[in-house]
Amino acid sequence: MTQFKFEGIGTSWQIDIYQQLSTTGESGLLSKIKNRIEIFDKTYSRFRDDSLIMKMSKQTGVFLLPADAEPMLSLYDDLYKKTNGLFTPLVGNILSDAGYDAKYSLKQKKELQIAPGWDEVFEYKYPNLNIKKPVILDFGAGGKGYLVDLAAKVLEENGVFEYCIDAGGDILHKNKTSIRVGLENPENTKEVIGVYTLQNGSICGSAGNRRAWGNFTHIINPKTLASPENILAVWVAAETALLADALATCLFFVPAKTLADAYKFEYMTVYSDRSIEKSPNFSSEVFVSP
Amino acid sequence: MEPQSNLQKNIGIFLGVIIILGVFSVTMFSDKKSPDVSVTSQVIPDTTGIDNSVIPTPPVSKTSPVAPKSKTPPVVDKPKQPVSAYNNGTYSATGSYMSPGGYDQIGVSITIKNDIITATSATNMASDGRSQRYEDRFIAGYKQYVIGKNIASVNLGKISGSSLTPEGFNDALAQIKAQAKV
Repeated sequence: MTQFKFEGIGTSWQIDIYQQLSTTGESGLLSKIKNRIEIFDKTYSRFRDDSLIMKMSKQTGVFLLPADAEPMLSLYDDLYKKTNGLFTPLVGNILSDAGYDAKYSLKQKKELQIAPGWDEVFEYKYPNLNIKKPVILDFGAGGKGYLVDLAAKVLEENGVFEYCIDAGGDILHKNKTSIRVGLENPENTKEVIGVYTLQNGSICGSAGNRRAWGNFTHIINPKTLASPENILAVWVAAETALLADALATCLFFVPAKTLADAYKFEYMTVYSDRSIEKSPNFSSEVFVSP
Repeated sequence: MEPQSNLQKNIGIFLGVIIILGVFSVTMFSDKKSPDVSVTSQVIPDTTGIDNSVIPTPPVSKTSPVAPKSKTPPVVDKPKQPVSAYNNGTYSATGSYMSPGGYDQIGVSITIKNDIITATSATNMASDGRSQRYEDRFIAGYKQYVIGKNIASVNLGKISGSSLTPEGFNDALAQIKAQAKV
């Protein structure tokens, strides 16, 4: 088995390849994956000045989006409508003003403004994004999951079909045998509260415990301008990491039944009193108090 | 006079029975047990097929079989392994009970997969204010609460949780925490 471990988009990646690879095949593949991640980062990161996102935050005008934008923007558009605007990329300014800016100042700079509606600031008609009012777009909610899917595409384009990609706990797995994924205890990262059995699909987790400062976590409700306190963690299992990742954020703001008709997914939510809610087919054992 | 004292006695007995039943029902609630009588039930069959995921049952269970104790010499035949006792599906029932406040109801739903309860929920259907409060307590009390187990003690391939954060973020966090200290 080949294992790649590296840092990318601000988190630790581990890619397990269950097929046999030659040494040249290995190093070539790792470069291709890292390149793909760099291209994505250069487009969508709000943490670097040279990104497309940061260009769009400074001037109005029509910007040409890269080809990979379509699936992600399309899902964002749909979820934006279904959650009544609670899931939106227009949280970049809110996060930045709250302190989670490119410099990690982690101090609230100014009064937060409620996220505007899409119509107020841009017009999206793929492949063009017409920026009417400069804003910082943040694709953190689904971007990492999407990049996991894109990395998988690189693997498959290079003849690798049995793998497991783990980007800081957002996981995509393709193999005949399943793997056991521990569900990290949001209150104690040395523990797990359950084990999920993953096979041929993705599980993504979301919790506010690691990126927390002052009164905020990196999950801020765009309308209340506060970080949800009633939910400690959410896991979503779906076919793609893009969907699992995006839905994990959605479930901090809306109940699962709002989205259950439109999307195929399983989930588990851990509330602040440590009670859980999970869908019937969320295939995990959970450690509960007797 | 004879007939009146008889009537009073009967009323007394009747009230006594009601109170006993009521106390019994209330006690059942505070012990977090589910009510007895089911009036209506509907079954939604689960057609997604059997999977082998193991999910622990919640604490409340009235269906675990108890082996009968015996004082006779050792049994020659071993008791049979029970076959699947329940069809997979989601079952709802409305329980009715008598309380000091009167006749009341509570809704309970469970999902069974491979003879294991994989999901439960309860709905407050009480009409009387006091019963509503008791039902609320019951509903709040029987949720499943998670506990953590040390990672080293669990056989795992991967871990999923909030993302590991970049060094820069953790450093910044450490700095502001230090600044915030008195």
